[in-house]
Amino acid sequence: MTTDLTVDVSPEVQRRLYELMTLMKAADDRLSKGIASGELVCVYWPSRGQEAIAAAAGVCLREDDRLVTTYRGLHDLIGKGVPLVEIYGEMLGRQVGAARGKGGTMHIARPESGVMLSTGIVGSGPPVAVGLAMAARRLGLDRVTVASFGDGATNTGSFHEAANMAALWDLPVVLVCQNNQYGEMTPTEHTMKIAHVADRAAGYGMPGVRVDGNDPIALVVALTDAVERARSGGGPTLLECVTFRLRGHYFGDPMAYMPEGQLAAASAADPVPRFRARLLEAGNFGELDLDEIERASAAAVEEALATVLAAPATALDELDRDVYADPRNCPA
Amino acid sequence: MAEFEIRIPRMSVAISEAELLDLLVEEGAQVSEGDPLFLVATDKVESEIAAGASGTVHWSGEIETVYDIGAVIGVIRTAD
Repeated sequence: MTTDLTVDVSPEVQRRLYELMTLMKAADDRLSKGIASGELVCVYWPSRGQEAIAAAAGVCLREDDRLVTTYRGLHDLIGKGVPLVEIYGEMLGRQVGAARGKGGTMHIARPESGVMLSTGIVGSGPPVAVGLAMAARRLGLDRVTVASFGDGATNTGSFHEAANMAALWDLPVVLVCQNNQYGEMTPTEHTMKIAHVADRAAGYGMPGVRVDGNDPIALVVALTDAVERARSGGGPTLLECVTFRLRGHYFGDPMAYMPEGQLAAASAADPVPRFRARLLEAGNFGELDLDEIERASAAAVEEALATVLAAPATALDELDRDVYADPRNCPA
Repeated sequence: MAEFEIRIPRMSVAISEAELLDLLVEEGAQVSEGDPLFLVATDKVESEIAAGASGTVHWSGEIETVYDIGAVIGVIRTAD
């Protein structure tokens, strides 16, 4: 799909997309630098390279729309409006985290922003998204639920059950597959016979759309359509966003399993500098405007990290809080 | 003058310790942020660790020694 910057989205939306993408990139870069130098001790599954998808979701969804994401969710969480202090706080085990630091990197949720769950098990998010969509329908609310997951998730039984049920009941769900071409260390073509994840949609009776996952404008166009369909009662869409995971499965992954040249080629298609070049070419923004957006994103990240590092570590008495409504029911 | 602590990084999910394999700069050397600083070995994978700040390096760790993740093995004295 070829998109035209001048007709498809307004300059305000273009600016918002670039703000979000640079914030997501800066948050990943700072975390990566800190972990690599030993300054920060945490586990992290990097989202670097997948920013365009999360930024597009950020501008297409309402605050009350729901999101279920995965352990590779830093970008998704930022896009949906979770404050960076609460994300970093969770990753670094501080009381300022979204779950007061006891969820960790894999389990960040913030209902005030519509983020209901981050999952650690591949494929476990879509059934929860179906439940959230059923809840919205029962409550008479017109909110939409997005499930964000990778290519590997679409090979699981839980994805199949969720997609089937969402289609059968025309639920207000958008299934956003961030096809980053690897499931952990295995290339996608080693785990599925079909070439395009979007083709799976035909088996459920829902539209399947394949889009360049590094093109934020194409993503906004496709997501706007899918969200509108879901909100107006037209049922779910499977949106396959083709992208790449620039830092491997987990932070520190030596990526020895990648064919030579693949990472270099993917880096050349990095969505953040690519969008910057495109914005400059379109002429609504100058070098100084975009430099200022990047500077503001980097400053916001430094400020959030300083707040988190100054915050107390998660206290031991958090251990059984929020686990049982009545702790007397807690198994001994 | 501030001090940036040089620590053993967590370069993999399921590790609790790593071996300090080699120091890539001498005691008292000047480094710039991002310069190669030391080597660690985890899960039979060697990783080169970059300097997290610019300044003068002072080592306290010993090579061929296994340290817990997060252990301080030196400092970088920075100008500010």
